Amino acid sequence: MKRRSFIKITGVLSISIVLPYTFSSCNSSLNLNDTLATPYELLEVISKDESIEIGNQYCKAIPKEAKIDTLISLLSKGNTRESLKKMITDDFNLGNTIIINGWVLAQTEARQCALLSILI
Amino acid sequence: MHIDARHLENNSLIEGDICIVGAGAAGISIALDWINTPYKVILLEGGGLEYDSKVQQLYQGENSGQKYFPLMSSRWHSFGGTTALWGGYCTEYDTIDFKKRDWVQHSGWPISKIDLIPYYKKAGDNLDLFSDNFSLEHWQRKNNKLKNLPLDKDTIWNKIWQFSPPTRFAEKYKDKISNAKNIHLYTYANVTDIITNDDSSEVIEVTTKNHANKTHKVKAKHFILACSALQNARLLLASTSQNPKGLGNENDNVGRYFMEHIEIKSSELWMNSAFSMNLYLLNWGKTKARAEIAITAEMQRKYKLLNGTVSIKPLDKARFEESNIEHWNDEDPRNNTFTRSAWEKIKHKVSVYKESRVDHINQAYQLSIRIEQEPKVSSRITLDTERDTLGVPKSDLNWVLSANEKKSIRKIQEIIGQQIGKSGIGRIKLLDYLQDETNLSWPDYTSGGLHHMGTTRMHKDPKKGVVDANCKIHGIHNLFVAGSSCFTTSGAANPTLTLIALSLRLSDYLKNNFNS
Repeated sequence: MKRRSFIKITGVLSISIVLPYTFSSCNSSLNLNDTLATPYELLEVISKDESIEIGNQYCKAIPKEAKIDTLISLLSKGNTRESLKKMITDDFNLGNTIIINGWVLAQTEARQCALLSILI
Repeated sequence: MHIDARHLENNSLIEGDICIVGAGAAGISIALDWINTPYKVILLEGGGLEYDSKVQQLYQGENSGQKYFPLMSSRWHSFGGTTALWGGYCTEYDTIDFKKRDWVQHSGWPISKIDLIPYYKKAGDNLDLFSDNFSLEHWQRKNNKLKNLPLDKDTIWNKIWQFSPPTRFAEKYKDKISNAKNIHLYTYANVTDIITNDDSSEVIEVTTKNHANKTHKVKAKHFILACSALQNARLLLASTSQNPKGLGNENDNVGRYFMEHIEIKSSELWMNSAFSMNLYLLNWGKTKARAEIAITAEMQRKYKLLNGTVSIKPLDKARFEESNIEHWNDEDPRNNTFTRSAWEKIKHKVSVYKESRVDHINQAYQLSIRIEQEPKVSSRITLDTERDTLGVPKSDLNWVLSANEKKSIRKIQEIIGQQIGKSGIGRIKLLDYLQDETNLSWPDYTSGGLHHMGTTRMHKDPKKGVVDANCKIHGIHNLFVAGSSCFTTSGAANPTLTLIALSLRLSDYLKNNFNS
C-alpha cells in the first residue's frame, strides 16, 4: 500500500547511534543521517515499508555500496534536503536511474532507501 | 445503385471501369471519391447490408502463433466493414514511421508522410472529425483546461488523437452509395478467384459466389482489393489459376510481415499532488481530442526504439479492466463490445476498492502502451487446408512477437519515468512483466488492437514488397490494393485515418492514370 507520508525516523535512528563517523556533535550527525536516509519526494508516493524493501533490494543488487559509511559518503555531497533534491533531479536528468521493484528511481534516492534499510 | 447478387441470374457478367473488392472503410472511401465521375464503378461486398452469420463464418480461420482474437470476429463482413465495430480513434502517422531506420529491419516506405498530407483532411471528413489539426497547441488554444505534463520537450511530446463518433460507414454512406448513378454496389458478391491472362500481367476478371449458389463474373479495366489485410492476402494466395503460388507472390511476400499494434498495460504513474489530467483522459462520447505521451524521433534514434505511445487512465478503474485479448474472445463479433458493458462489469469492484483505500488513489494512473511491431517475415497469414463454404481456403494466422518489441516497451517506460521524476511530480512503476530486463516472455494479457497491417506491403523492390508506391501489385498492371495491408511498417497510431488517406491517394492516382 502506498501512502502519502512523511516519516519521522529520528526516534528510530536514535537507536542506531553506533556510527563509525565522528561529527562535531552527536545531534548534528543524527540530523544529517535523518536527512540522508529520508527520500522525502519518494515517500510522497510510496510507504516507508516499501522504501525499506527498495533499500534491501538495492543492497542486494549493489553489495559494494551496502555499508553505512559508503552510503553516507555517497550521499553527503548533498547535506541538506534541498541539495539532495537537486541531486535527485540531476540523476533523472542525466539518466542516473535504477529500476527497483519496478520503480524508476534516481540513484540518490535509491541509496537513501538503502541507508534507511540498513539503519532501521 | 444497389443489387443483391443472390437475385441475379446465375453466371451473370458484370462490367465496369473499375471494380472495388470490399466495401469497408477503404473501399467505400474510394467509391465516394468516384461519384459523379464519368466512370462506372463496381463495388463488391461479400456480405449484405446487415450482419449475416453465414457470411461472417467465411472469415473463420486458425491462429497458429501468438494468442490472438478469433479471426472470424476480428473483422465485420457486411457493407461498411469493420467500421461497424471500431472505436473511432484517429490520428496521423508520424514522419519517422515512413523512414528507413537502421535499427528497424525492413523499415522504410517508398512514400513519405508528405505524400499523405493532402489526403488526411478528406479522410478525416469521411470520419466526421472536428478538425484536421492534430497539434497540441491548437487544442490547448481551444480549451485552456488541457494542461500537459511538464516534461522535457526534447524527449517527450504529446501526440493528439481525435475521436470519430465513431462513424459507421453502413449507416452514413449506404444511401449516398446506393443513390449514386455511376456506383454499382453488389452485395452477397464474395470474390473467390482472380483470373489473369497467361503471364499474369493483367487481371481479366474476378469470380464472385454466394450461398444462393450464384456465381458471377466481373470484368473491369482496373481492380482494387480493399477487403482488409487478412482477406486481401488470402484472396491473392488463393487465386492459383495461373500460378500455384498465387498472384503477386513471385517473391513469396504475400501474407508475410503481418503486423498488429501491441497494446498492453505497462506501468503506473503515482503523482504526489493533484494535477489536471483532462488532456489525457477519455470521456466516451464527449472527448473531442486527447493526448498520448510519445517519445521524440531523436530519442527513438538514440535508444533504437520502436515507435509507441502511452495512454493514461485512472488506476482505480484501469486495475480491474480486462485487456482486449481477454475480453474479445467470442467468434460472433456482436458479442464482443468495448466501453459501456465492460464498465458495467467492473463498476462494483471499483467502488469497493476506492472505499477501502485511504491514500491518494485518485492521483494514480495506469499507463498503457500501443507500440509498432518490427516487420517480420515469419509473422504471416497462410492458407489452411480447410476451405470455407464457398470453397476458398481458410486463413491461418501466425502472429509473432519479438524481444525488441518488449525491450522498447520497457525502455519507453524508463524514459517516461526519468522525465516524471525530473519534473518532481511523481514516480513511475513498471508492471511485473517488465521488471526483469532479461525476461523476454509476454504475459497472457498481451493484446493487439485489431489493427491488421502489412500483408501486401509497399516496397519499390518487388523482391521486398507486394505493391509499389502507388499500391499497384508488382507485375500486374491493373491490380491494386487499398488499405492497411499496404503498410510497410505499422507506426504507433491507430491505422484507420491513414489507411483511408492512402486509399484516397490511390484513388487520385487511378483517376490521373486511368488510361495509361
